[in-house]
Amino acid sequence: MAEPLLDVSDLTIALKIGARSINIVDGISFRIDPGGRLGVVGESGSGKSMIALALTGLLPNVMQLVSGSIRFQGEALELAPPARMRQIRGRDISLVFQEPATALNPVFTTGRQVSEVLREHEKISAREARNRTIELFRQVGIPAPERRISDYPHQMSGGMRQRVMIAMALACRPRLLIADEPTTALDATIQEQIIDLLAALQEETGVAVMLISHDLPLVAEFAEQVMVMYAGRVAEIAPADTIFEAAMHPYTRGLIACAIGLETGTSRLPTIEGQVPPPLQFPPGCRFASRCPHAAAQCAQSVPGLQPIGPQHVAACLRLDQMTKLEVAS
Amino acid sequence: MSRYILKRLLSAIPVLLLVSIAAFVLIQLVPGDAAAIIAGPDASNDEVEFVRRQLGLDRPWPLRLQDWIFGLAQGDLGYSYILNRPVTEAILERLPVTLSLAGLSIIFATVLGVALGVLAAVFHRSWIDALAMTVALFGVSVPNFWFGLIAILIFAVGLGWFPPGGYVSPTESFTGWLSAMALPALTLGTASMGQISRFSRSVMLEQLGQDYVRTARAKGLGQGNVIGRHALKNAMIPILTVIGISFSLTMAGAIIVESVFSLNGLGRLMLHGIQRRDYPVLQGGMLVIAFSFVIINLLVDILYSWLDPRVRYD
Amino acid sequence: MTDLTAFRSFSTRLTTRMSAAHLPLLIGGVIFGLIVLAAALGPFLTPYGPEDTSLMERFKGPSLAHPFGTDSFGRDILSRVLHGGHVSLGIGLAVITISAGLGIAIGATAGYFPRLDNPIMRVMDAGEAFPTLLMAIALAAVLGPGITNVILALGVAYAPRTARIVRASILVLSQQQFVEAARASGAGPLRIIGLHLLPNAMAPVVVQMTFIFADAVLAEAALSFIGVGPPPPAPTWGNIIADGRTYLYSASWITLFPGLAIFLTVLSLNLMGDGLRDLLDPRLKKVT
Ligand SMILES: Nc1ncnc2c1ncn2[C@@H]1O[C@H](COP(=O)(O)OP(=O)(O)OP(=O)(O)O)[C@@H](O)[C@H]1O
Ligand SMILES: [Mg+2]
Repeated sequence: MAEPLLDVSDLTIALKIGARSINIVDGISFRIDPGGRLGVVGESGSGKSMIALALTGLLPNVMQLVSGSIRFQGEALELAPPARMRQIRGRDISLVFQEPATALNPVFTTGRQVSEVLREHEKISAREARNRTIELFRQVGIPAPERRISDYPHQMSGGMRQRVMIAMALACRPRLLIADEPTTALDATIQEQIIDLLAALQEETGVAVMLISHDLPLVAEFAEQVMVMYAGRVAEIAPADTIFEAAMHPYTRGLIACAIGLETGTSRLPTIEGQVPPPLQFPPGCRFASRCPHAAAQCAQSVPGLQPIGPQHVAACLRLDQMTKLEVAS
Repeated sequence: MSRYILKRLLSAIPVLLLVSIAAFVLIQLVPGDAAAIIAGPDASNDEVEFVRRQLGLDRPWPLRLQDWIFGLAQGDLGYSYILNRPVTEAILERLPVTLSLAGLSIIFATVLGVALGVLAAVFHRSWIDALAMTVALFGVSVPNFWFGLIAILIFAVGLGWFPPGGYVSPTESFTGWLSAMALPALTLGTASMGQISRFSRSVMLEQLGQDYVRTARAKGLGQGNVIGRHALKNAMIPILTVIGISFSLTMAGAIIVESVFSLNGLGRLMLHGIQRRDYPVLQGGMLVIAFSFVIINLLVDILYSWLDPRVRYD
Repeated sequence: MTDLTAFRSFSTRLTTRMSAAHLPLLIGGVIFGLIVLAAALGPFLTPYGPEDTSLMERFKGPSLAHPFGTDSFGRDILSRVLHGGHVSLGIGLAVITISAGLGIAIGATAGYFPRLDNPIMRVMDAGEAFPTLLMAIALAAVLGPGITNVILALGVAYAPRTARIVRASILVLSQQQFVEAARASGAGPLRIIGLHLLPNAMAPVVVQMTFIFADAVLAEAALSFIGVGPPPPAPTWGNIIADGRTYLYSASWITLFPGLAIFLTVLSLNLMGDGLRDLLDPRLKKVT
């Protein structure tokens, strides 16, 4: 197996409230190959954004990276000084955020905001930066780019703004693009366009993509590997093309049932009962136990570790053996 | 953009008109025989009658108001029988002093105020924040005339760094002007400095929490660029309004500070006007200050449209 | 990140904001309380009357007998400052009462009756084009010096500020359902404004009143200083400083102590205002 582009192991991020400290992200490990596509799924509050921010050294002040290692092209990012992280951000690893409406600065033209990344990382002339910005606008499918570069964010539609964000992220030809729910704020048709654009650009440039979303089918469609998260922990990592059949974790199965229900429009929408507990109420054992239909007594006590299931497939559940049986039975 | 400016210019007209009427009404409130007061204490009966006719005080008020407004439109602020000269002339002679005092103190207040506010926001809840906000609180709490007297005591009398008062024209000696205006500008600007830094801090805190700031960081931009360019340009939009309001505070404060530092500006002219019951001068001075306030706010709005593209294109 | 705000609202905000608001409120409250107490007990604290002159005791520096020194007439500065506090605080209190009364009446009318809103607010615009202090100077100059006129002048001058705040709250509140319900049940405007709207609009008004109090103390002192306030020999803080000014170089204590009194009073009021604002209305902008 080739050297991974990004190798994260045992990543733990804690929220500090006074003297207390709660693990918002708790011992997460995953890897992304060069040019790979990893999808990350999980309900709101599961810690997906915090992982994205930790990878780029942008955690908010109340959050702290407690332990774990982040190897990017062999470099230990958790140890990198701020100045080094600044070089990496926007040049080697870039981010696309959820809300294109607020993620762009309202008082600068979109073109300027894109060329700014170029000028920060690649000491080039204003003229050259402008030409490359126009080229980037064209690449992400913005019509009449020569004109649109002088538009302000408020003069663009949501979809167009997200294209600008993508142009900005790809400007310096990064090795890794982290897209944190890039389509959640957009209309359904625009969502598809943006995902298609990301896929096309991924093929074209060979950038590795980490796509974060609530939407399992969308992620499975796009990614090679899917990582399912629950309350700050990994529930399951599985190959995208087989996840719908081979999912082993009860939470993943719950998500699949919801997705299929949505698709076929069954009158009674299957949902997972209950809600993700807030960080202050995380239980000591398996965090999904309270909502899990298969939970047993042991689940409330011990934390499940990741168990290998097949090639590229792991799941964290204490009752994996029962799960297989259950599946055969049903 | 020019449409927007035109609209703002037009909307200033009714306010200016109301301000002019207010200044007119003010004089009507003077108890007793206005003509006798305006003519001065030593005036003979004939002189009082002359003033009455000149000012049209024997005519009904709508006609007088009309004369007043038409006079204003031609830059005529009336006549002071106590100074024996047109009010406009007297004011124009004093205006450079007051404008340089107000201008310098607003520059001081803006530069220091914004700097303190930004520092406090960037180092939120640190000792820098506490120190900056203590300075700001001092600024909004200290009575300026007293601060001026203490400043004279320390920096002029004690240390001898600056003259204790008096005005030097910049055309005569630029450094002399700066050194003469240093203490007065500091004294007059302190309150605005406090107000501007308190406001800048809260605006800047709000901006630093915005998504676009995170985007700027994600691009790999340095702290200076993220704060000084991205966040500050957004923050300056509301801060400008407060600077505009501070300017009016400053023009009024000038009346007091000019008296502390013996500067012969508009403020002292008005103060003498009050003492000698020279109402035309008082009225003219008030009008000039109120007009300057309206004009400054107009400029602020125009600057707005330059800073904020959303205003420009609407 | 929708749950983020909800979560923050009860962890961080509850703990840090409470203490962040309480500290200035506490410090300001204690200082202000002491000043009020000193002003109230003034006559009993010193053996001298504020206007008692003594030719033997002229220009005495601070000493045990006269902690703040004496002035050109041998009057005890401490007694004068304590009495000045009486006058200044009394004027401040009267000013906030008048400006709140006027401001609430004007603001509620503008906010509740859309037809009156525009004309009223344009008049407020024009009123605010005259800086408060200038307006007070002009009114005091026209009406003549004296405590009542200073109170009237400042009370009127600060009214637009309160009016603006009340109007803004009323505009928002009158869109809400409980007001619709009251209207549907046949309540008249006076009843709706007085019973339903104003009680909900008071928090920012209270905050504003604290800041206006601070401003009024400063303004009254400035008016006295330039000679359009309560006329001497009334021992207002501004008057004492104006007296002391002539002897600034030789007897600076005459100027120093009343100035410190003004400074501390205004400082404590501003601290209380900051604390109250953070406590009652965290979203209010820091414009005073
Ligand atoms: N600045 C912050 N202060 C306090 N708690 C925070 C902060 N940011 C995030 N959290 C908490 O951290 C947890 C993880 O948040 P995160 O934003 O990573 O979730 P997410 O999976 O990205 O959710 P979403 O789908 O809503 O974006 C949540 O419980 C959230 O409440
Ligand atoms: Mg998120």
